[in-house]
Order: sequence, then structure tokens, then C-alpha cells
Amino acid sequence: MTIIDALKMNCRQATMLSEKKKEGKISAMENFGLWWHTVVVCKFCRLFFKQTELIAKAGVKAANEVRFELDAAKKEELKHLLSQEVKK
Amino acid sequence: MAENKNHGLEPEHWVERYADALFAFAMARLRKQEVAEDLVQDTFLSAWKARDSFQAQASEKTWLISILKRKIIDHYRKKSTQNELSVLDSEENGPFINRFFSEGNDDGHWHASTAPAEWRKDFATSVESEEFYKVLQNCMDKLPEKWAAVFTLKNMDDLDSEEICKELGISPSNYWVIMHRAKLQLRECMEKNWFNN
Repeated sequence: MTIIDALKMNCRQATMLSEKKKEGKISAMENFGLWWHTVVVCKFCRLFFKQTELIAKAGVKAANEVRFELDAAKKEELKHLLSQEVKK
Repeated sequence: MAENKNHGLEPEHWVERYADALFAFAMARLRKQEVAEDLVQDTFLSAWKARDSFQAQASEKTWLISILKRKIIDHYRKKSTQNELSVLDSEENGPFINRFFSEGNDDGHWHASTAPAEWRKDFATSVESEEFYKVLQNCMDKLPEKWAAVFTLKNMDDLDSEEICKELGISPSNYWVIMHRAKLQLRECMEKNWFNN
């Protein structure tokens, strides 16, 4: 990527690169282009990055906080199955 | 001695001690009760069969979770091959991408109709509820299985892209395309159904 390409980066490319950046898989020029695009050029992409990060983090938090309990009848069934196996 | 035979494991207590934790672990990654129940059952039975591999210094729970993790990945992989996205339309165009970004002279910029909007709902307080999780699950369910699997492995289990590609049998370029699309679709869905609902 040349500096001209970096300065001309569009939203489709920027949103694609955001995930690569998180894993450090982009070049210095791509990184510059991404910075230029999001900080200077495009408020929509800025929102996109912020919001997708929030969704990912909140999703993990919620998934870990919501209480799930295995159905009592299913537990009985499992106990029975296991004890059969253990006896074998 | 019974304890020797069982390698220090206590399978008679597994259900009461670990079933809920395993079920919660599976639900957080698969979202479907029936599938999660089946995998918990499978985990207990396989664990017992593989009891020789249990290392006494490990905890039973950690060991059981590691078996369940494996089963979840196997489940994702089966689902992905059954529901193969054989031809992902190229990242540069195609109906999915063109719904978000323009073609032609103004190439690659957000359409006004699908561009991210400021969210009205306050984030910090709004995510506490179970309601939020339900909406998120619904949005996740609308993603193709493989996209949801990639997104979940990345975010819930913090695997890196190379591990995910290996586990799910996808190429790196497909991985980035899938992740890009999953984020586009999920963000849009959450904006409509939660943040600006």
C-alpha cells in the first residue's frame, strides 16, 4: 500500500482492516491509512469501531453473567446414565 | 481401592457439582438448549471413558471444561461443513457488501441508510439486563452458523485467527471476510433491535 492508497482508504477497506489491526496483522502503511481514515476522515467508521468493540465486550460480559441452569429432569437422567457407565 | 480405580475422580458427584457450570459454558457459546444439553451429556460420558487421561493434580472441573471445549469446536466444525459457504462473493462487491457500501464513483463508502448511527441507549446501564442478552442472541442466531462460530471463538474464547482457521478448516482470507461481515450484520442488528429501538 502506497501513501496515496492509505490516504484514499475507503470505509469498506477500513472496516475490514479493523479486525486485522487487533491481531497486529496490518502493515505500517495500512495502520497509518486506518488512523487517517478513522480519526480524520470518517465519523461513521469511528462509530463502527467503537460500537463493534462494545458489542463484543458486552456480549462476553452478558454471556458470563446470565444464569443458566440445567433442567432438573435432565440432571436426573445424566446421573442415571453416568452411574450405569461407572458400574460397567 | 475405589479411589485408585477412579483416578481420584468422583463421577457420582459430577452432575450436582458441575452440570450447571458446563451447561452455562455451552449455552454461552451455542445458544441452543438442546445442543448444549447433548454436549454436556457427551462430555460426562467421554470424560468417564477417558478417565485414564485425568491428571490427579488438575481439577475435575477444569478437565471437564477442556473436554467440553473440544466438543463445542467439533460441533462448530460439523455445522460449518454441513452449511458450507462455498463461494463467498468477493469482498469488493456482491449483494451483502453492497448493502452497506457504495459502488461506482463514490466507491466503498457507507450508504446513508446503513451507516452506523449514534446510539440512544446508554451503554453502561443497558447491558446489565438479561433482556440485552436475549436480543444479542437473536441477532447471533441470524448469522450463518459459521460466522457465529468464528465470532464466538474469537470473543468468548479469545483464540487468534490462525487457531480459529485451523479449528474450523477455513482459509485466512475467508476468516477476515467472515469476521468483517459478522461485525457488519451484528452491529446493524443490535442497533435496530436494542440500542436505537
